[in-house]
Formats: sequence, structure tokens, C-alpha cells
Amino acid sequence: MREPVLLEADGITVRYDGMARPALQEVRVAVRAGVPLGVVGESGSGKSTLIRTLLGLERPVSGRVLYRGTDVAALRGDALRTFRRKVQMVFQDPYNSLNPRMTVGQTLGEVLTVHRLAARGSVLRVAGELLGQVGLDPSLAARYPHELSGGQRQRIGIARAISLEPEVLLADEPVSALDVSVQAQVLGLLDRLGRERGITLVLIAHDLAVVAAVCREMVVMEQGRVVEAGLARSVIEQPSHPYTRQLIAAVPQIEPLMPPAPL
Amino acid sequence: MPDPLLQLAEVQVTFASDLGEVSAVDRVSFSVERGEVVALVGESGSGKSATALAIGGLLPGHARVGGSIRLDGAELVGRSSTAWRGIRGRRIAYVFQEPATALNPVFTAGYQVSEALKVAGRRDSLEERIAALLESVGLRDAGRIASSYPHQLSGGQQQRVVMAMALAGEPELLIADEPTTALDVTVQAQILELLAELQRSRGLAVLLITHNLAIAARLARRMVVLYAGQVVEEGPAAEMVHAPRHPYTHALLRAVPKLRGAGSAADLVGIPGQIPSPMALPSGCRFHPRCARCVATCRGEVPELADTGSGWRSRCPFAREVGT
Repeated sequence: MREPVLLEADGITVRYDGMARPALQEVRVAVRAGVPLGVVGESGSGKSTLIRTLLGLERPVSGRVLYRGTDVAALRGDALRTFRRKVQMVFQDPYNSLNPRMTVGQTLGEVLTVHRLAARGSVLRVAGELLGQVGLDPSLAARYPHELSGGQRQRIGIARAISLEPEVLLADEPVSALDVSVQAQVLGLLDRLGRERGITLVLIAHDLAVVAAVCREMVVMEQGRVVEAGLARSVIEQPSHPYTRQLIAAVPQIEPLMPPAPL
Repeated sequence: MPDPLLQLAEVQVTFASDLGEVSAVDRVSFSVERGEVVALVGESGSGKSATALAIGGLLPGHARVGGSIRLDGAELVGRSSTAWRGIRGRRIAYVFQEPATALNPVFTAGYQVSEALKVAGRRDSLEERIAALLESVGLRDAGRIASSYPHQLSGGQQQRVVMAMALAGEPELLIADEPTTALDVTVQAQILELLAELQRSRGLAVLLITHNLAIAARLARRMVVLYAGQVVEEGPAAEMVHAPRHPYTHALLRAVPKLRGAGSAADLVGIPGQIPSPMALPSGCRFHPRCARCVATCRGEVPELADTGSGWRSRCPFAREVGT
């Protein structure tokens, strides 16, 4: 049996004023429960517009975004609040997405209070637990964003997102601003959250190898269209679209050592 | 034996700060031969950009440079600003990460290339020289590109214009500081190919500063790996990415996600902990708190960068056993 679809772009077209070509053209993407999905593309491919539209921040001119089968444009009241909670976002630059004047504990506490997920007296304890879940020391709650490293800030961004117990986590280039040695830690964390907490990851990345490491399925976007979709491993090993082949060929790779030539 | 084109010996860079002197580059030594591509590899805080800027005397006023940097045997450290004339832009040229910030938005690409030519002392037949330069960096429609403003060009075209400006003075050494990091992956591949082509056709020496080991291995003959301001390993690039002799290089290679034959994220091995702040460097070996091979002596004794044979140096006493 196939996993149920949580979030779906159902043939969406999105236009921005003054742009000759639509940012998205009849894009179909389905996020299925428990199946991490990678979205790959270069600048202008529409991958960031896709994310904004899936979050309900852009209105498609045609097509619909469906959350558990319901058009998100029609959501009101409690249903809209639930959607806003269950579909969360992690941004590329963890520094710009945290309030510099709030401590980590205040940032996490505000989310918990607004969504009434922790009683006033227990906010600090819950914030500490969240930090633990993303592999950080609970004492970091007293720190400000500028006192933290890039990897720590990205973990705070993830802690903020998972504090709402989302079903879908949209992550837009979550490791591209991080050093290689900490990238793997954050990718491992995103992977673990999927396995242990049932959060379905949608990972937007320009780096195919990052998608290959974390996602089961992937879509390749070019100029507002999905040009290829399928199991991540098959797309990478047997790409069928010329653009996908071009993209894969362009990734700098450390070539495997050739076996020694026979004498 | 003639002097190498560029030779750094015990180079130190310190910055004055409210908290006192902060060391960004600590006794870095390496050289670049004529026509050679050397990669300087490191993560943030490694000192790779400070080293690159020190070579051209481009560090801000509150930075102090110690040690020796020689171009063709002539000392560059401590030069007055007039003594830099004839060197920067003429013998050493730079390409930086963000082409959009390297170009002036209110002037056409052609005008900016002509300015670079004038600085390089080439004032005759400017039109022809501009066209020839733009063509040499793979911009075929040189006339249209020359009359375009930066915002009318793609990121790849902008970076090619920046490279044309760098080549205006026919430099012997090009310092390319993360030249493709801001570009899309297909454009990146084209720019790397262009760099390799320029090195072959012009005999240009390139110091390539990058955090990407695959790019370093593809372009460079030799690779210098920096960690927390120090050289931890230097050796032949193609061999080092398969058999590194320092635990940091080894761990960095394992942390890079592979496109093919890779397992899941669970198999990705990150390096535990954080890159140390230059304000709070660990005692002993600077990598020891994150190192899988750390033993008691690593915490107390500062390891020397030692020759390990065949042009290879490593700052680890267990160099021979790394990766086994």
C-alpha cells in the first residue's frame, strides 16, 4: 500500500508581476507520509517558489495546494491554525531567521506559548528538552544567536520547527551555509527526526549528493517545471532527462580510484 | 634552483580586537611554482582567506602580518602602498566569491575591463584588447557583453568578466578565493574548466582557495589543508583525497556526501564538536577535541608539521596510520 499523501501541489502555476515566464508551470508534487522528498534545481528553477506556495504564502493562479486532501486556500479558523502548525519550515540562513535580541530560550518559549503547547511554568523545561532533542546542551537556552556557531543556530531553527510537532518539515537549503564538517551532523539530525518522530522532510537543495543522502524520492526542477521525478537513487543512477544528466555530470566528485592496470 | 613564484614562510596574521590580539594565521608555509595550481583548503576560521589577502597586501589596517611572503624572491611583507604598484593587478590578480559585489553596478562590463587595462598600463587599442580579453574567458558575444551592465548578465557571465579584469595585467599568479561557491553547479563546472584552460594555455599559476575537496582534487596538483589557522597537511592532491595523512583531512573526506554508492544519512560521518574560535584555541593539537585518534600527548604537546616523504607533510604523529 502507498503511504497517504500529506501535502500536494496539484498542477500549480504561479506568476509574479512583471515576469515573462511563470515561476511555476503546472507543477505536480506529492509529499507522502514518511517518504523524505528532495527538490533539486538551480537558480530560477522555481524550487523556492514551490516551497512558499506549499506553505500557503503564494497563491497559485491555477491548480491547488492540498493538505490532507483539502485546498489550503479554503482553510479557515482552527483548520488553518492546524495547517500552520503541522507544516513547518527551516531556512537556509539560520542567523537571519532568529531574532538577535531574544535568547534561544525566549525564541523557543514564544513559539510554545503562542501555540499553547506548554503551560507558562513549564516553558523553560520544555525548551530545554527541545534543545536536547536536537543534540544541544540545554544551557544554550540562555545564549543569544550571535554567541552560537552556524551549526548550533541551524539546530535551534530545527528545534523551533519541531516544537510544534509538525507532520511536514520544509527545509530550504538547510546545510548550504554550513561548513562541511557540521553539514553531516545536521543532515543526520534531519534524517533521525524523520525516523524517530515521524516528521516527513521536504529538502530543497542544489547539491544532489545531499539529497541522495537523506531523501527516498526526488524531483528535478528546471525553469518552473518538474522535468524528472522518481526514487532518488534511480534518478541519480539512471537519469532520463537531459537536464538531470547535465546536473549530475556537473557535480564535482572525488573519482573512485581506478583498479591497478593488469601487468 | 630558481626561486618558486610564490613562497610563504612562517606567515602569521593577527588582528587587533577589543579582547587583545587574535591570531588568524599561525606560521603558515607553502609555495607555488610557476604554472602550478595549488589548492588551499579549509573551513571557516581556517585562515584560508586571511592568508589569501595577506599575499596581496589586502588585509585591513588592524591586521598585522609577520613572516615572509616572497614573489619571485622579492619580499612582499612590509611594503608601502606605492611599492605595491606593479605587483597587484600586474603580477598577482584576484578573483573573489561574489562576482556581483566585485563589479560596479553603474558601469558597463566593457568600461570596467578597460579600467583594469589602464591600471595595468595598457592604454593603446583598448577596444580590441577588451574584446580579446572577453573572448579569452569564453564570452563569445564580446560586443554585447561589453555594453551590458552587471545586472544584465548571468552569474556565470559576471564571474567571467571578473576573470577578464583579473587577466588584464597578464598576471603570473591568480588567487581565486572560492570563485564558484556563489554559482549554480552547472555554471561552476564551466568556470572550473575555464580556470584549468587558462592555467594550461597561459602557464598561469593559480592559488585556489576552496572548502570543496573534490574541486581541489580536480584542479590542483598540490593541496594545503588548513585547520584553525595552521597547515595540518600538504601533499599531492590526487593522492591525498584517497589516502590522507592527517585525521582532519580524513574526517573531512568522510563528511562529504557522495553522489553515488553512498548509503543513507545515517552512514554520513560528521566531525563531532565545533570549529574552535580563534579566541579559545585548544591546547596541544588544535584538532584534538574532535579527533578520533586523540591520545594523551595530543592534548599537551603541539605537534610539528613534519615531512612524511615524497613531498608530503603532516601535523600528526600518527600520519602513517591515518585511514588504516
